Formats: sequence, structure tokens, C-alpha cells
Amino acid sequence: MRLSDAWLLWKKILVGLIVTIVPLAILASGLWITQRFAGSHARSKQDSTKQVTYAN
Amino acid sequence: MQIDPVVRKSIFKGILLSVLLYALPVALLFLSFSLRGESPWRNPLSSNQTWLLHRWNDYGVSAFILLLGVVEFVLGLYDRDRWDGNEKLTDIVCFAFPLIIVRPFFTYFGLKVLPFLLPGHKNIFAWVPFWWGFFIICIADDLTQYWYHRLHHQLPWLWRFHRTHHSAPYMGMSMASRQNAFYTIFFSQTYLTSALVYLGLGPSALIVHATKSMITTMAHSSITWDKPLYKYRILHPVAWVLERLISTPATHHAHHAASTNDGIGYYKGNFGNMFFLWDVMFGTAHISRQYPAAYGISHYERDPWYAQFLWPVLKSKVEGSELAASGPIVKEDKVQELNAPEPTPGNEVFA
Repeated sequence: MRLSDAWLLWKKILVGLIVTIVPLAILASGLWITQRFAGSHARSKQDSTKQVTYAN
Repeated sequence: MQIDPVVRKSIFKGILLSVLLYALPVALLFLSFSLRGESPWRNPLSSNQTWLLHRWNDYGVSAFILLLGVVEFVLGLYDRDRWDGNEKLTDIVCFAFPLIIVRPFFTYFGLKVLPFLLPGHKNIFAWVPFWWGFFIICIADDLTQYWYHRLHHQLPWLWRFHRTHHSAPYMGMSMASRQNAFYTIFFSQTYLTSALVYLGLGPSALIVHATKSMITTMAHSSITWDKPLYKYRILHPVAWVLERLISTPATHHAHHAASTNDGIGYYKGNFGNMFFLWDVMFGTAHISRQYPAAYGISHYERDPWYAQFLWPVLKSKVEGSELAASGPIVKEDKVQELNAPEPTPGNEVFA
């Protein structure tokens, strides 16, 4: 194994890293946004329903 | 060695479309929760269901692959003249490597490395309902593998890491795992799926893994299970859908053909592993409903198994081979074939 082979391996790992991290970032941030906004939106809706129920 | 400008443009366009595809399942999940006013909830599987998933993934899939191998062997589907000692050793070493080394390595990665890299994030997305998780992992895992695979064909300097998978002059269930060690150990989709499992999508990942293993093994198998679908007219609509959705022997064997641009063989495309849909979407699909006459690499030098398995650490002693110390990155005849114009559509069905 020569230095050029090690460089080739390093480049390959780098490409693999990008191919892994880009989708992970998209998916994880998408799930986080869903949890943060879709969840809280739904929760506040539920809370208001509860208040109406108690008021009655 | 330069990348063809047309290929470069196609990769760039494909990557942009992929960003949207990755975002699609989570966007739909968001929309679904918002419209239906649901809080993200977890639909936990019972301990019995989880136990069954684990056992199927551990033993069921392995038993299925071994059974397929026995059937192929008994039916005489291995070309014994071509499956010589060197090829047998290459296949066996590549088949055993993921089971003995890669699995424990990824288990260690999931249990020790991920908690270090993403502390406090374990199971934070465990609320994702099972089938939404399935949808997410299907896209995450298989689209990532599509790109990993495609780049190893289209970036010339990556080709030699994937060459072992294409060197066999036959098809069979063991072909699915016949890979150079560095190709297998740096599989992007395995790291991605491991991270998603750590974040809480474990049960869905088990089902995707089992389904994917079966589809990819069947696509590499010498049992051409899709033949009846093309033979009987009544089954043509099923064939039409199936051959565009998942990898079939016809489309994946074309990817392993010894020649391209002849209307049947097409190693310039058909990169999909579980889903063929990616090839249809990115314009790399070729559907002919026929099987190539010859498989492998036209200039295969029968490099020794250790060079095929551990290149670039160990090199081939065969002079002029792509895996030899002074060998070319890509053989000249391959370059000419890859740069040749596409054939005029004849009896083949272009997606």
C-alpha cells in the first residue's frame, strides 16, 4: 500500500461521509421540525379543546 | 481521469432531486400530523412482535439466503467451469466477511460510537409511528445506497473498490455480498440507518433490512423468478409495475452484463438495490425483459481473491489488471464503451 492508495481511501471515506451526513441532516432536522411544530400545534389544539370541555 | 461532462451534469441534477426525495417522507409526516391534528405518538410494538422481528432478521433472512444457494446449486445454475477455486474463495470470503466482521463492527458503532457522537439523542424520534418509520428508512437506506453504488460506477477513481462485485462471470445469490472489504465497511447507508436506529427508528429498520435483503438476493440470484411475468400476457401489468418498482433479475442481471449498449446488457445504469424506482426517476433505467448472454467484465484477468477482497492494501500480480500496482484506473475498452452513444431503442422498453 502506497501513499497514493491511502489518499484514495481517504477520498473514498470523505465521499461516503457526505453521502451519509446530508440525508441524515435532512431527515433528522425534518423530524425535529415535525416534533417541534406539528406536535406543539396539535397539543395547543388539544389543550384548547380540554378547556372548552372543562368550561362546559 | 476526468468525469464525462454529461455524467457530471446528470449527477448534479440527481443530487438536487434526491434532496427533495429525502425530505418527502418527513414533509408528508409533518403534513399528516398537522392536518389530522395529531400529536406525534408512538405505536409501540408488543414484545412478541419485536421478538419475531429480531428473529426473522437474525435467522429468517440468513436461512432464506442459504436455501436459495442450495436450490441454485441443486438446479445446476452455477456454471462449474467458470466457478473455479479462485472464484469460490472470493465468493466465500466476501460472504463470510459481513457476517463475522462487519456485523459486530456495526453493532459496536451503534452501541459505543453513536452515543459518543450524538449524546443524549438516543430514541428521541421513537414517537415516529412504525409505518412512517418504514417509509423513512426505505428512502433513507435505499436512496443512499443507490448513490453510493452509482458514484462507484461513475467516478472513475472509485470503480476499483466496486470491481469485485462485477468480476464474476456468473450470477448467483452469493453475488449480493461479493464486494471489496472497503466497499462493504464504508457502506454509507449502513451508517445512516444505524444512526436512525439510534435515534429511535429501530423496529422499522429491521423490517426494511429483511425486505431489502430478500429483494437484492433474489435480484442477483440465477433463479429468474420474473420470467413468467413477461411470458404470460395476463401478468404483463404486474410485470410493468414490479420492474419499475423493485430490482428484478432481468434489470439487475443487465447491470452485471459483460457488455453494454447491446439492447440487453446495461452496466451504465440499473443501479437500484431494493428499489428500481430510483433508476426510473434519475434516468439510469434500462428495461429489456431479457437476460444477458454473458456476465462479468469483458477484460477480467481472474485476479487472485485476496487482491479482489483487499485492494488497495493487497494488489493483483496480474500484469495490466486494474487491481495491479501499475494497472490502469479503468481499462481503455471500458472507457470507450462507457462513452459510446446510447443505442436506438428497438425491442427494449426504456423506462
